[in-house]
Amino acid sequence: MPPRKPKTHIRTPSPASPPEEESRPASNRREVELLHQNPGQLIVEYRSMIGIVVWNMIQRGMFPPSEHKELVQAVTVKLLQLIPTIRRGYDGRSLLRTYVSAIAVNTLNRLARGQRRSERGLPPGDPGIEDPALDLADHDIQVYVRRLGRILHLFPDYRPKLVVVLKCHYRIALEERELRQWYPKCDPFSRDHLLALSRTQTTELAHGELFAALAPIVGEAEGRRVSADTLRKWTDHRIAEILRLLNGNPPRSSFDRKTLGELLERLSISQGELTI
Amino acid sequence: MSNHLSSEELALYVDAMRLDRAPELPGRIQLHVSRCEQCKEEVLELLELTDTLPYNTEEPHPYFDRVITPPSRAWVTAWRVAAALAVVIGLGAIGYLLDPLGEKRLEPRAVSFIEDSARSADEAPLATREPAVSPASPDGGDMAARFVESPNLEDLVGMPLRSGPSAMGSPPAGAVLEGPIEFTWRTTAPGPFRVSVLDNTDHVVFDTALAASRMILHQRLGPGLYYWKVVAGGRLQLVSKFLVDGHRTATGRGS
Repeated sequence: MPPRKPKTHIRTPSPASPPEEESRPASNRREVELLHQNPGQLIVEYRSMIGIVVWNMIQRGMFPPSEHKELVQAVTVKLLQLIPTIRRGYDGRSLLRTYVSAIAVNTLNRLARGQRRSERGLPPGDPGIEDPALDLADHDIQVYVRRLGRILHLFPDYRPKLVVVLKCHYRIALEERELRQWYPKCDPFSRDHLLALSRTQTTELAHGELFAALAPIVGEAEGRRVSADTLRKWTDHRIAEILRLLNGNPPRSSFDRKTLGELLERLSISQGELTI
Repeated sequence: MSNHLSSEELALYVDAMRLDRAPELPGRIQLHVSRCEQCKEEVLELLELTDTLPYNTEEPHPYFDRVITPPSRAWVTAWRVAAALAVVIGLGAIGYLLDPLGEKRLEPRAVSFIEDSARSADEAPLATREPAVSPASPDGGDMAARFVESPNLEDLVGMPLRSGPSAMGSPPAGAVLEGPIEFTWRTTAPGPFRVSVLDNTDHVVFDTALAASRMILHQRLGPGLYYWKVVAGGRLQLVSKFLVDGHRTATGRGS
């Protein structure tokens, strides 16, 4: 069954031409040298990078496209002011350009929050988005599928477990390797049981029954007693968190539990195993 | 959740996701992101906002491709020796502190030393009192003991004797000598003279009778304090002393 296009609420991307793409970046070592010897030159070399970050924020609807130039200028000035802080804060573990772009994003987020409050007179915390209901184009769905894949990487501590439980919850066929990655010592009986559970239809097995069947195997894998209710709550919390991350803050889309399942199925089809 | 990721850690996580090397991230960062929704949001946002930036994947990453050089063999050996010494010293110290008899063992030794010293000093007869230390001998013993004054002879050095004040001798009392020693004396008493050389424990090391009032001693003496005396007609004419310095060569003359 082809997945349905999820109904989402997104802001219309502003029509504006993207900034020129940066050529091949300089080596990190050279950029670090510039940071200490000629920071002004470094920020000049980062201008195209700043332009791309600003453009991406405009694409998200956080700023009007007409402000692109001013924003690039504002971020550049701010980065120059922050040179001593950057020198102190950068300890050489990440790439310097990723670190500086993190600071640029923080600066832009502060500017966006300030603009929302002052220009629109909105109370703090109100995202202030318009909610035009749009059918996502196929391209947009791919963007969200990719985003979901990245979100799953943000649970490094228990990603294999999350994938198994989500696939069973949404009845998306589990791969044997995904199961092994979560529970390498899984006995054949439990393994077959789990693989079968992930392939049942919701009409055949209610959610309550699913968690009742799943809980003992999760308990075995984790060496502790896990009740069906505990597992259901844990899954609900994770799904809610994934949805918040998927929709963004402030929300740019409105995926729900059902449409999340469709995205997960698409991700599973495009990627194969989700635990790698 | 407190202690959120710093900008650098955030950037490191984004680098890891781009390079598909998230499992190599420091455990603390992985654990924190797993449990912190705010940091997940920030990582995701930074990742997406910098998505279209060119990324030089050929360059080694400062963290993921860092070269970890193992310590050199010499250093490893040095550390092992130092660790072994530290263990031995530590065990010794613990043993000393935990040994309840350690303190008691020291006491009898100190007491017996004091008792022995007191007994030897008190019980020695006055007439034949030995010096507090063993006699000087050229081939051993305590060097300092050989220079301790003789309680019997010291008082006679330079004292006016019954023979009268005319007795004079050379070398002068207390001279430091080496090699053959020339002794001369002048007295009103006629010869023959009996000349004796004694060490600081009153042992005679040389004794002779002669008619002349001059004598050269060729016998080699060990380092120490010596006394010499001249007797004539059964009467003590002269008592004096000299020192032989073991550090000097035995070729000079007495001063």
